[in-house]
Amino acid sequence: MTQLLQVENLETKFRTADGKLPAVRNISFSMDKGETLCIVGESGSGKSITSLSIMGLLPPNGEISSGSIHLADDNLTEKTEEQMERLRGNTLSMIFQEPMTALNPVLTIGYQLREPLMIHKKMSKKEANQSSIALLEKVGIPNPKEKLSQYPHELSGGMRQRVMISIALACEPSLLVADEPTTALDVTIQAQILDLMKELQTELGMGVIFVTHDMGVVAEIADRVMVMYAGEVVEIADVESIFEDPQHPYTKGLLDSVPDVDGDVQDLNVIQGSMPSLDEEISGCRFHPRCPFATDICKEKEPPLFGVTSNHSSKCWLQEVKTNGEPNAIARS
Amino acid sequence: MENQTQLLEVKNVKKHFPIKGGLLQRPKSFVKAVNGVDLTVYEGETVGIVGESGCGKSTLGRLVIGLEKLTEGTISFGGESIGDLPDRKLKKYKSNLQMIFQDPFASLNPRQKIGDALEEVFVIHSNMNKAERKAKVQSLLQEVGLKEEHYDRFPHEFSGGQRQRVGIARALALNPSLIVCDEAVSALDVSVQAQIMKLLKKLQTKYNLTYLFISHDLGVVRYMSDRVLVMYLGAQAEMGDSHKIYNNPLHPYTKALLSAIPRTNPKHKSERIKLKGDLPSASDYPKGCPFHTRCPIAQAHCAEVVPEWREVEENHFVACHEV
Repeated sequence: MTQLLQVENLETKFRTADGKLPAVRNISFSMDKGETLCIVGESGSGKSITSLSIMGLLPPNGEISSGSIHLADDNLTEKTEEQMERLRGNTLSMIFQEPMTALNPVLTIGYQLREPLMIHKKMSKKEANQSSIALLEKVGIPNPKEKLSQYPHELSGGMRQRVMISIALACEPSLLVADEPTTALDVTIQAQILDLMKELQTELGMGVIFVTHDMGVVAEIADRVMVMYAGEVVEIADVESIFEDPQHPYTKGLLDSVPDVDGDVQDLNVIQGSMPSLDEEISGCRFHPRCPFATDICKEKEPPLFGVTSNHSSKCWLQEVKTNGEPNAIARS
Repeated sequence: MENQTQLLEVKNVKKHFPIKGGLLQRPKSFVKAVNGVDLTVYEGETVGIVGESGCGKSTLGRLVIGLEKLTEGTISFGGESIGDLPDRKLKKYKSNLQMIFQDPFASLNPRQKIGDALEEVFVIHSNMNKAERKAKVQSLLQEVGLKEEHYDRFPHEFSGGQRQRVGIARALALNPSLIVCDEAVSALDVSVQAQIMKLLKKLQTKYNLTYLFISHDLGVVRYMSDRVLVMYLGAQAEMGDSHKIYNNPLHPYTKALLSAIPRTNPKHKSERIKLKGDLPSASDYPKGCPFHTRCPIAQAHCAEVVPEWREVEENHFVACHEV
């Protein structure tokens, strides 16, 4: 498969009253065309900032301080704002958690759908209207023609998210970034949206970065999974390995913390403590204060990403013992 | 369950919110938030209430602790009907019943120290002096896994999990017998959520607490609850022991809800029951069975007749014509 996205040594910092603080710390990963990469982690792990860095949509006090992001042949970190604008909504697209805040409340659905088509595809209003109807049909919205003249508040949460998806897909992007797109939805609606996204991905062959904190959703939709903790990638692997053979203690803890809907009696293995804040400097491995397996080396030296198999890496000293110390510094090259 | 003491009894409870309109602001129609719920809760157990947004689960919780007035029906607590209580007695009743909210930060004064906020409970409900109150609050903080030094901190200095611990401390302060947990762990990250659930279970055993555990997360509800009530559009759909509801769901809505949850197993590929469309608005309440507009097995009579609440096996109730 051909590579779609290559992120290398990305570091994103925020200017705050306490100085510049890194939210994403030197992470590297890549993904192929047509692949779904799930980024999982809890709040403060840097998963959303990673996706916003790729989109070039960081808040005003955030900046990419080093590293590169290659989408096909373009280096996104070298693009000007104007050049990024031409890419966003076109080859690079995003869906947000809360469609009500992402959609403009005073513009009709039709206006917001036509906009990317007219700007990027240079369609006339009439052509854009035709395409909009086809797009709404594709995402399963009944009576698409009438919906064009409606406003976001007239639609339900699930319908709004469908509209968001249709806008994001209007120009058939090669990469779609979805930041918690189903978190605000009820489970029955979430199931509908996940099915829809899978269907559309197969049809359009786009790469999807799916940011979520829900391990159930990950199992449902991912090809590969990247687990983040406190701004770092701690484990990256194909979806089966993550669930059947997790290596990093944080990944294991995360899986053990989810109560099982199918289990009668259960005991949760709790990870102690909570996510460190951005300004907390932790020596060695950033997870060691919460890690049940922490040893002396964990407190002193930061572990590299060790290769577990060709498709699976874990940033943990426990791997050194297993793999006889052959660090595979870049997740997958 | 038979040999247990009955603590709370909810009988045919309804709560309709008026939608006012016109020049005189007369009610035009009603939002039927809770539309006929029966529930008995025994001492020391946890009853989970699940459903999607708009099903009335939170309104039911608020009715139980007296934050909303009933439209119809009765709620009795410890044998006394709370609708008939004078205000003076109601205060005593309320100290026996507490609530933990989803976002405790929203209910804390950002300029008030945590210690002072917790002490206020004792200023109102006891005649302890300042030193006694402080000692009591510090022991409460320890009880919920916080430290004594947290007494002098402000709300913004706490993480989400710690704030929820403060919320729990506040609920525990007056030794209540029943605590309503309304989405108490929903806003928390999974690792912190697990810590809080374990804490709630520990406190339950220690103080023989009874929980009404309201959540949209079926996994969380299964972990916490002895019995589960499934609600849909203000009405009760199914009720029974946890393992019966999860292993042998009868109502088509419960089945659909359970099949819709993404499992943490990439190889799990069971057929999902797809529900058509969205939840109808509670102001435009469907005739007959509230679920018939989305039900995969609906028959003609479902649109006409409201299904009765039947006990299909011991301690397993369901409201459906087709079961």
